[in-house]
Amino acid sequence: MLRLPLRAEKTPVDLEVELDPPPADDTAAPWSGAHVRYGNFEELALRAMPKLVAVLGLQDTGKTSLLASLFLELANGQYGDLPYRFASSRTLLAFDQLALRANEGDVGHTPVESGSQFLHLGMRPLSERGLEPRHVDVLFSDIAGELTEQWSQNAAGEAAEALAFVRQSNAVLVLADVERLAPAGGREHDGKVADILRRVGTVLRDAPHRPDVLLVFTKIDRVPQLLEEGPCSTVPFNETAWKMPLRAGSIRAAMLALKRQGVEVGAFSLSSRPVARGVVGLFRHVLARVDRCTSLARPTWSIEPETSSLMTYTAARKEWE
Amino acid sequence: MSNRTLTVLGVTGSGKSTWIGALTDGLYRGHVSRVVFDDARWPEDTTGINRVRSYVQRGLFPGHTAEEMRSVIELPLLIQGGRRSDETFTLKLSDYDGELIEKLFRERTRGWDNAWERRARADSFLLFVRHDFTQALRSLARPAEPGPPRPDDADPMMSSSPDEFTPPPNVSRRAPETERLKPEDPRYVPTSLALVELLQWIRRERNLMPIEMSPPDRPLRVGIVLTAWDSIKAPWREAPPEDYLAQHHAILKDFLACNFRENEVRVFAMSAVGGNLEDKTYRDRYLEAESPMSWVRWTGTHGRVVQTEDLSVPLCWALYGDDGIADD
Repeated sequence: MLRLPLRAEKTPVDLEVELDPPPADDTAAPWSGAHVRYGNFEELALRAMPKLVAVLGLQDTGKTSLLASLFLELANGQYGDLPYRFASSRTLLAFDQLALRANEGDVGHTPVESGSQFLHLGMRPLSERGLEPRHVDVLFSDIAGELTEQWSQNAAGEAAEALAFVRQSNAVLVLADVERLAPAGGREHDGKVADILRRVGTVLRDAPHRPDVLLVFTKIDRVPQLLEEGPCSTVPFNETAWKMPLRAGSIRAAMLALKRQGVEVGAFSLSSRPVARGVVGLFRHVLARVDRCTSLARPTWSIEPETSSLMTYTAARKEWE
Repeated sequence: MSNRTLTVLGVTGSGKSTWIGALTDGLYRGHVSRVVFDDARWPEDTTGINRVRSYVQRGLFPGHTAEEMRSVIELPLLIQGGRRSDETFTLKLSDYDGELIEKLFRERTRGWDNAWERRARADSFLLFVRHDFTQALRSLARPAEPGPPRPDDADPMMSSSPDEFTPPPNVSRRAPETERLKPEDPRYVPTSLALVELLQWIRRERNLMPIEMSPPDRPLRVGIVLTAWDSIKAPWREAPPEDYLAQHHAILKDFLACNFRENEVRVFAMSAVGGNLEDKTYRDRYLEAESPMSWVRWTGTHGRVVQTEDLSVPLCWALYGDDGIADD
C-alpha cells in the first residue's frame, strides 16, 4: 500500500499496482448489462424518474436496428448537433450484442418471451457553458413486434401486461416500414400500423400526461425516391406537409385522430443500416421533448416512498442487498 | 501518513508488460529521471525484477502472460526532483492475463471478487490501450459526404504494415470497417465498451452515481496510456493524444468527460521501446543504444504537447497529478 509521508517525514511508501486477481470466486459483476426489465428501475429512479421511450412496431419494422444504430452513432462520436453526451449505461452488454448482430447484417427478431425489456442510456446535457450537472436516464423499449401487434388488436389480451408501460411513457415512437408500404400490397401494413397508433391513442386518452407520439418511417434506403430525398421530419405533424408518397392513408387518418385528441404528433423518416441516416436527428427531437417532462404520475412499478431521491444511494443499496 | 494505491488495467496485448519491463530496465540504466531506485531499501531477492526486465534486455517483447505466470515484483523507488523530491515509495507490480477484462465483460456471473472490489478502491488508475490491438466498436457505414474522419481502420494514417506485429493469442486485429463478420469469425468485446463497463463497476464500488464526482480532496485519477505509438503514422503521432482518443474511442472519451473532472483524466501516448523489436534492424539498434529509445507524449497544462523519454511519467501523474509531471 502506498503511504505518502507528511512533508516533514521521509518514510517508506508502498505503491501497490495490481493487474489481476488470483483465481476468482464465483462472484457476479455489479449488474448483468443485459436489458432492464420493466419494474426493475429502482436504482435508476433514485436520482430522478427515468424517461421512458416506447419504441413500437410490427415485426421486422426496424425497432432493434434503430436502437443498435443509435447506440453505434453515439458510441462512435457521431453526435451531429445532439446536445447530449454519453455518461452511463446499465445495458452495455445488450447494446454490444445488438451492435454485433447489426454488423452481421441481421439483428434478428426480439423474441416474444423477452416480454417488457428496455435498453438504458444515461446522457448528460451539453450547453454553451459545457456539460451540465444533470444526468438523464432514458429507457428504450425493445419489445417483440408480435406482442405489439397483439396488443393493438386486443388491449386486454395476453400482450396487455407487456405493453402496460406505454401509458407511463414520455414519448412513443411507432415505426412503419416504407418498403412494405410502397408496393401495391402496402394497405395491409398501412392498416396494421394505424391499429397501433389508434391503440396508443386509446391508452393515452386517460393517461395522466400526454407524451409525444412520433411516426417513424424506416428503411428509406430501400425506396429510391425516399433515399434521394433523404431523411425528413414533419413536426408538428401537418397533413399538408405530408410528403410520403406511400399508401399510408390509414396511418394519416390515425395521426389526425391523435392530433384531435390533443396529442403532439410528428413524423420522421430515416434508415438505420447499413447507413445511418436521420437516426441522431430523431433522437435529438426525442431527448429534447422527454427531458422537459417534469410532471409525471407515480409509476406503476413498486417503489417505496422511502426510496425516493431523498434517500442516499448507499442507504438504498443496503436496503436492497 | 496516508495510503494510496494505483491499479493498472488493460486488455490482452495492450502493452502493460512491455511498459513494466521497459520501465524497470530504464530504472536500472538511469533512463528514468523522475524516479530512481531507493538503494537504501534494495531487496535481497531481485529475481522478480530481473525477470520482468529480461525481455527488453534481450530485445524482445514480453510474451502473452498466461495466468500461471503471474508474479509480483517490488521496486523500491524514490522521487527525484520537484516538490516531492526524496519521497520514497515501493511500486508493487504483478502481471496478468488481459483476457480477464474481456471475460469479465462477457461472462459477468463470475470474476468480480474481493480482489477486484479492493482494486476498484485504488486512488488512481492507468488504462492501457494499444492502438492497433484494440477491438474496435464497429460502426455502420457512413453516407458518402464530407465530415469528420471516420473511426476505425478506414483511417489512412494508421500503420500500413499488417504483418508488422504478431498478435498474442486470442487478440484480433482491427478489422476494416467494411468487412462483415462471418459466422466463423471470432467475436471480441470492443475495447472501449469493456473499459467503460469496468470503470462503471469501479465507480459503483466507490458508491459514485453517474456524473457524481469524487471528493475534491481525494481525486480519482484515470490515466489513459496509448501504447506502441511508434507504429502510428505521422499526423497522429504529433497530434495531442486526447484527439486520438476522441476519434477512436469516443464512448470512452465521453464517459470520462461526463464522470471525471478535467484534471482527473490525462491521456498519454507512449512507445516503451521506441520501435518494433520484431524488426531485426531495429532490434539491433535498440540493443546497441546507450540513450533511451522510449518516449512519452502528453498535453501539458499550457496546452502544448510535451515529450520525454521518461517512462515513469504516467506513474508520477497518477500519484501526484500535474504536480508530478511538471513540464520539462
